[in-house]
Amino acid sequence: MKRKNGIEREYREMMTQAAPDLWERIESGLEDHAETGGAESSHAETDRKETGRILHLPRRRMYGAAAAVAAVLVILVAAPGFLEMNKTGSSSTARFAAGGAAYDMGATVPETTAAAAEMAAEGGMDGAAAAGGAIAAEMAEDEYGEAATQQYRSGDLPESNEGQNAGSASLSAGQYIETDLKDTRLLCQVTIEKASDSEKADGRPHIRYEARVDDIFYMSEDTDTEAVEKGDSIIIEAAADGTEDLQQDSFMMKEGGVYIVPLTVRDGALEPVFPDEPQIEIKEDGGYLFPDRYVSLQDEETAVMQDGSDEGQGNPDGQVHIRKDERFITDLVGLIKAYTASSGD
Amino acid sequence: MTEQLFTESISQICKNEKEGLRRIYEDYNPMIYSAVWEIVRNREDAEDLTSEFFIRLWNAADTYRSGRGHRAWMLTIARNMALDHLRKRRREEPVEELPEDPQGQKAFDEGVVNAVSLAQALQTLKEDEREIVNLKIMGELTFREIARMLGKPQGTVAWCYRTAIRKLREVRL
Repeated sequence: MKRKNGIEREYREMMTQAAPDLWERIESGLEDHAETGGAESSHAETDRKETGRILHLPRRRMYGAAAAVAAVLVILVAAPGFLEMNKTGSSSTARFAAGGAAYDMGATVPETTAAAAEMAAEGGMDGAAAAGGAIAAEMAEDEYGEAATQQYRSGDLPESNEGQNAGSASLSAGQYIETDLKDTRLLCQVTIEKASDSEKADGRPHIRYEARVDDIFYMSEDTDTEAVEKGDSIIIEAAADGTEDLQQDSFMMKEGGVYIVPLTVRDGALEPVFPDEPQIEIKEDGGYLFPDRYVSLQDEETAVMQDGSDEGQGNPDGQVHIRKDERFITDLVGLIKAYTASSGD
Repeated sequence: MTEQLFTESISQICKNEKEGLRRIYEDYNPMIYSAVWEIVRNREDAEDLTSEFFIRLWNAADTYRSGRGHRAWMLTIARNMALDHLRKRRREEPVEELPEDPQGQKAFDEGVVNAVSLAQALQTLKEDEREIVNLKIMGELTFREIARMLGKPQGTVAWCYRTAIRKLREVRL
């Protein structure tokens, strides 16, 4: 189950509660597939008896019958053996498949079910299936381009699953202060193009970053972040520490700086998962500078920067660490996945 | 429901095992019902169409091809059924019925903005915004799938969704 924010969760609950239980009615309309020849007619009769309402099925049946006849004619010409292979075919089936065909064809909405059935008939079931395969392949091709991104987004373990292991193994160590990583919707490398003051409706000072997405390492199957792609410009809103001079803000990402930022969505805006501390910065030598919070990413080879040093991002709340190995991103992604999994999403 | 479980359920249906349909129904009845309701805006019609959808799924299970994204597949079919129904109803009933609220609530009233319910807040959205919100949240579709289904650019769909969510939040402040 995916995590939903407040409005989404409430919407889902409301719609779920609003949906009536129709199972008995549906079940009463089911007949074994071998007997579906007259099934629909009896469905309509059953529904009328039970509800006293008209389902508009007779007219559909007319369309469906016409479509079925058309489909049969096409099929008879194209494949004489079809009737032997598809004894269960019904007008209902043809129309249902037609809907699928419409989906395969790019969700073109047919004017009527008859037209839809004709679309299926024209393509034939196999044609629809073939089209479906092409669409499926296209859909399987991730929207974000790179194979690595696809791998992360699909939830597969990284090729080297050291990261996953590292994350899983160290959850106990960092679970109290890293746990918010479970809220990560997007982990990307960004270059900060502009940073400016912003004030949200709550009156608290915010910094508005205009950033270019250099790379995407992790993406949840999320509501708001799906449209983000490598090369996009995005807006990141982050709480400021209240310092009057923005340039003195101790957590601020610098213009021109390159950062790895776990992002979440709050109030419809992208915001760092940890807004009240320095973000992970990529130094010119390729090293990753990260704050204390990421305890699981600290290993024996991690260098510790002095508090408030030039390289220490001026972090007043603790030490800053630096790692220069290539596994850093993999470990971080593994950590996010581990916390996400542990949160039950 | 995972794609694998859905495919297994479809296989059960093909063997005349109702449990397969039951599983799909339990997972997706609210999704299908709310999707068709967003189009027909009438409870009785939505119930009829939802029932009909699952009966047709039972009858046509063997036309499903796995790996195509079953939610988008089902929603496309349900949506087309609802649109067909709507077109016919409009032909038969030239005077359009007033839309009905899903929980029988009155239309949104600005006078009670401070205590507005989500159902009322939804009334402030445009039709296409409501449908996108529904497909996104209940259908759990990607913006790309929604864009394909509605025939709109992906960016438009994403923007529309965010705008709608923002509106809902603002109305409910």
